[in-house]
Amino acid sequence: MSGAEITYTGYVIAAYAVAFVLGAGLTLWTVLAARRAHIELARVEVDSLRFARRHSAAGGEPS
Amino acid sequence: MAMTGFANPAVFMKWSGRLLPWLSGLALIALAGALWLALRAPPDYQQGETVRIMYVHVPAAWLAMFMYAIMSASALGTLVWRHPLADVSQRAAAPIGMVFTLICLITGSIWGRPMWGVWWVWDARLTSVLVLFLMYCGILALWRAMEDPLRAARAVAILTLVGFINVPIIKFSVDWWNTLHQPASVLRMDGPALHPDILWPLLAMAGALSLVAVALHMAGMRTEILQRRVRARRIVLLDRMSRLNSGSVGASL
Repeated sequence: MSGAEITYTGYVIAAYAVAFVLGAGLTLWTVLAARRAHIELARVEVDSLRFARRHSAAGGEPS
Repeated sequence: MAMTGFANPAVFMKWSGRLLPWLSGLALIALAGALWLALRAPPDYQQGETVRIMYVHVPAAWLAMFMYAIMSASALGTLVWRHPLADVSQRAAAPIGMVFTLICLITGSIWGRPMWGVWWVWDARLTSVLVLFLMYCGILALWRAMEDPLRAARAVAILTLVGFINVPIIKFSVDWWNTLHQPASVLRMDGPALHPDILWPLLAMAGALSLVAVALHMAGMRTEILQRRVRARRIVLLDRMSRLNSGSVGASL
């Protein structure tokens, strides 16, 4: 293999590495955002339920 | 069920929840197969090994424009029909399009150094793709800058539709101006000008990355719908709390 080919292979590896890092980063960001949204939704539902229980036990909220 | 029934956020969450794991698995298998084809393809007689960069660069460029086309169609849905899923779709497509544009720009630059002798030239194709990247950045920044989601959706939809003028400019820039970037060699009126040994890995990679983009778009839309549900429930909860507080203040007076 000549020196020029070795250099070109380096460019190919660099291009694929950049694409992999950006693609994996986007995928990870999407997955983490989905997970966070699920956790936040569960938390706000628990808060709503707690609030409803506390105030129904105390005679309900004013209309 | 009519298409409008499928476009309901609750129905979308139901069927996308079933479809997404299969779509993600299919995208991964297709990507592995396309990578295998791309790495096994013969080197080009002029470009040598660097032709393999094209298997990432060209599909990334197509998807950068395709995601912008999805955003533009969604922007029309927001402005004309005010469909609840249109803004969700637009918001989920923007980061995906931005990343594909960035992959296109960086891999193109890495290919340009050994082939053209420069990392960058201000020719019409490269500059118009850079403008597309800046459009994506501007759209994402505008969403973050505006607090009212309805106003933000309308402003972003208008900006997206104005920016759509850049998509045909990118496509035809190599025909309209004298550019260092080569003219189209796949999407041509008289058929592809590539040898099948290069064309098939390129098409396989384009198909695989399209599946990845669709899966990410679907996942992004689901997250956006969940985040909107969280916001809506927080507003209801805060409203109930403030009504309760004002009631107890009224009672004490």
